[in-house]
Amino acid sequence: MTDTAIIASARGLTKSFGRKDVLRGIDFTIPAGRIFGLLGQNGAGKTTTLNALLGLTDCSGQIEVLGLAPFRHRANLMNNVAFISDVASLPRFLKVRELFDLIDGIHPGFDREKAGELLQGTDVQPNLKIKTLSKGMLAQLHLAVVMAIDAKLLVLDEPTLGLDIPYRKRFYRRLIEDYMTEERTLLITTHQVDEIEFILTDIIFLHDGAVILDTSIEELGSIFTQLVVDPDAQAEAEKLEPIHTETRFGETVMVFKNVPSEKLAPFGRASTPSLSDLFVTLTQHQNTIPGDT
Amino acid sequence: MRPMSALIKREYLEYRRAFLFAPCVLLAIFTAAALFAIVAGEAIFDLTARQLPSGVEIYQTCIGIVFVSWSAYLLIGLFFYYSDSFSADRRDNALLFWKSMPQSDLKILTSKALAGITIFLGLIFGFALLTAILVYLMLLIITAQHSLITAPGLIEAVWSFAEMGVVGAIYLVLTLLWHAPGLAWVAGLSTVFQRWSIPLAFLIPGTVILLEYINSIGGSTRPIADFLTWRIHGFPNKADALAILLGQAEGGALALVGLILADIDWLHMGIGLIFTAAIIYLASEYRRRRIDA
Repeated sequence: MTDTAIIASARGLTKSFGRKDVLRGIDFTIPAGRIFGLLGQNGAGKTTTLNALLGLTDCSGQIEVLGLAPFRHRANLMNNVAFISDVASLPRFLKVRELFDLIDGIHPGFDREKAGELLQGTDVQPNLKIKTLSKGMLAQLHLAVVMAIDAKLLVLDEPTLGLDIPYRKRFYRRLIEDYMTEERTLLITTHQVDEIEFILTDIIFLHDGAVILDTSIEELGSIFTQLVVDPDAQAEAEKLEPIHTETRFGETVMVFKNVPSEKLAPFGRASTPSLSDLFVTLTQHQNTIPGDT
Repeated sequence: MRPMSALIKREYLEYRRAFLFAPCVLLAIFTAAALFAIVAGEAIFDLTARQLPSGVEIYQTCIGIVFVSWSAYLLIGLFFYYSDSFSADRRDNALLFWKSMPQSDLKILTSKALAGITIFLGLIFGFALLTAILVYLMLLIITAQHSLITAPGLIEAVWSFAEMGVVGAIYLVLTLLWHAPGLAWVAGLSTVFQRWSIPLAFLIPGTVILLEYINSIGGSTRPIADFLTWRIHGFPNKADALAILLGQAEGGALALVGLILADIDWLHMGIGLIFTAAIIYLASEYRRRRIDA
């Protein structure tokens, strides 16, 4: 991978609010053409990390997005970065048409025609006031706006919060079908991990202001294995040092790190853990995997 | 230039009620009230034709009053506009939308500052001219009713209208620039304190002046109170201006331009504009660090 393919990178990123350390020296690199999921519990530091990437907050340490220091060059950076932070953030006093006129005037990368095309077939009409739109329509409009911006990095912070399931599915399908290309990079944070699992290529887990996992989805299966343990093999399986053990519906489930699934197969049903299971495992037991980033 | 125009247009869309719709209503009320007074009222003139100024002098004095009245409306309107607009983006979580655009906080706040001296000033100037035309029509009606007053002929009226239009435009622009520090003061407070900016804009200097008065009981001077009184009083000397308009002093209506320019303390005008620019810059730096509503 060459330097030019790196969209964003952070080294030793720290941020404190008063005495509370929100980010504790995190490192990560985001290459081009990938779909990153930034996952973590409430208060893990996700939004602060995104704000640092978008130049909305100043942090200690090194951070670069598209070769620029985000806080110092936010306005310039936004020529190539688009983000949805909250579906309710569009200016409510404008009509849809006026919003497009405005963005057309202030964003050189905005394609007004494309935005209009993206809204065809929806209930979002050009003469509607934004304040009259439903939450779902607002999400469609906001997505149309950011998809009509020719940005290299698109950041979505809980973009489907409060939307019902059909809207959420349509939102992500549209994103993948109409937006993603090899040159574009997507960074998503959400609590609805299961809904985005199928589109992610990479994940970063944050816990208590630190990165506890940073890997590609392809590598995930070779690092972590989930084992539904046969009742008579529990003692043998425990000898292989699972990082997490729990009981689900009467069955014992263990998660192993760096243990080949062939080695685990004799003790039960081995599989790759889902992101939500892995998320729970690592956030509850991250102390058992020191230095894993 | 295009982004700045788009941002100023955005201000117009958000605040057109105060600078377009409300003046329309005021003008309609004024017209209705004036017509009612002319048609239904009784003449109370107790002057001989000799004592009365000429039709042209009456008309240009009326236009002068019109411009002074509309300038008062403009200043009051802009006071409320700046008390709201500098924090308006924080409503409905919209600040993050504006920060997703490739425009700096300084540029966005500058566009708000410039909206006052461009589009809103232009609108009020237009209303002043419209009022001046209505005043002429009313003078024609009065002339038809009372032989004492004679409205100027059409050519004289057009000439007076054009001359006073130039005087009025210069007066409006310079009045706005003179009072810019006061408007910047409430704008800066709005950036930090939002809706509390209006009471604070009076409370802070009021408290300082009160302390100054308490301190001056023993006989010392009150420089802050005196300075603010002088600053608010503005220009030009009203008696001199009236003398020119009523033909009691040398020079036609355009002599008012000379009077206005001579009565302005240009050093203080410059200091005030530097203060205004500094407030806008500091407000933009504060806004740059804000991400929450």
